Amino acid sequence: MKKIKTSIYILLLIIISVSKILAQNPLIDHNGTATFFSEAPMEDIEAINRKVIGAIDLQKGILAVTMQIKGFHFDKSLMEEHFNENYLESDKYPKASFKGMIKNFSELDFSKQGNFEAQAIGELEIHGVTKPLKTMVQFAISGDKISANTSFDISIADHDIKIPRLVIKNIAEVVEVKASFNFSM
Amino acid sequence: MQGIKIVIGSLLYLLTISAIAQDDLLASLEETQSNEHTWVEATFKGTRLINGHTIETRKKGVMDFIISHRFGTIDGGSYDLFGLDVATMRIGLEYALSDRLYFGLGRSTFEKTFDGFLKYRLIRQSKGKGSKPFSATWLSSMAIKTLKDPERELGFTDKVANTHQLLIASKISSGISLQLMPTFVHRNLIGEEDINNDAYALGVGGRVKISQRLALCAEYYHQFQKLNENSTNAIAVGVDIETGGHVFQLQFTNATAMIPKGFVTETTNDFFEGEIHFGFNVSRTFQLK
Repeated sequence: MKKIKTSIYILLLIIISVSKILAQNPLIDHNGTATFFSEAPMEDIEAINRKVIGAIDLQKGILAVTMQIKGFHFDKSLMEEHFNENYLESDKYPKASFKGMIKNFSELDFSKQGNFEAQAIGELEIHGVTKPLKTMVQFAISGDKISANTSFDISIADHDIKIPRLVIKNIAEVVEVKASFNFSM
Repeated sequence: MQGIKIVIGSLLYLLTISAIAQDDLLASLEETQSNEHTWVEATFKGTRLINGHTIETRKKGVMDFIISHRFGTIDGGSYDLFGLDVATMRIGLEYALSDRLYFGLGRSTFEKTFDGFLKYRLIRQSKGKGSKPFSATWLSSMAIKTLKDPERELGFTDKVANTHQLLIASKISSGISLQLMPTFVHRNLIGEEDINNDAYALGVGGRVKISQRLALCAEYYHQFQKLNENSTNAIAVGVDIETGGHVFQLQFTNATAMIPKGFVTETTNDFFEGEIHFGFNVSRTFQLK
């Protein structure tokens, strides 16, 4: 009898979670932006990508972000070429991505207007290397719009990005990354 | 006991489900992204393969300063230090008016030649939506030989030669690029031993990257109709070394001239008899806009 109860329980659990996946309706922004900034003795380098795809699932508190490395644009075109060709090897590793979830999601109310902060935890993949990432995300909700902004530091060595000795003074070892998204419900 | 087991089991299960959901969400985003259009960049390190041009042009607002050098032939032996005592050179200044249109001016010590070229990117290799498997660039160049001829008085038009090339290249993988160069050269005035005003040639070349900053290059121009019988086909092998804003290209070639009309049609050295010049191209890039 107990076994049957357990089986029914598990069956129900499967049905509920499957229906949850089927009912999934994430908000998607195809024109998110990501920038990175490297401050080094020789020169400051800044690049911006305006075609970042981000998604948030407001039923489960799940986040996903993906972007083409070639979508990053620099002021100096030669820098952009070196970034793709020598450092990020974008032919081999064309994308960077993040998948994660919002901590304490159940305590947050996304239907309320206003600003609040939440912690996102997950995995960041750059240059084929995946590392855990924790970052604070600022949410602003007004009307049916949700904007999300975050900024964090990454160490280029963590992602196996090799900078030759010759240009080591031109590129910082830790770069500041910012990302922002605008979703509409 | 059973109750705790079920609770732990369902917790684990929910965690797995949420991990799967994360993967699903990312996967579905990547699916929409996979068809995004991206350009294939850096088919070659620079605008020159070795002697000749590559399909590459610089991005809008970029100026390139390029110095090319060819020493004497190495078969001269130690007497003139394997050619290092002799040198011909070309200085060039080039500018990108747009991401597709590129022009340059140059002066070679060889026959005191001035040259100018226009380069236009017709097709750019790309991936994703509307992808193209190759790049094509048109090159038209004009050369004016100003070396005085003691035998005769020459008018301006007599000194002019024009070259037109269609450069077709494909970056087959991140490390391998190949290029085809159908070439037409017209000289207004022909020399004593020449039989044709026009020359037709097909060039083939490519590069293989051996590290992020090093690449091996080779280039060969086969002439189908030569200007004269003494003309040989230009062969060149070289190494590209990239160091930030510079590209150093070191090469061995049987050609003396560093402009298309010269190395394609006026090469007379035999590569396999050791009539080879050591040389280099150095380019420095400046972002003006």
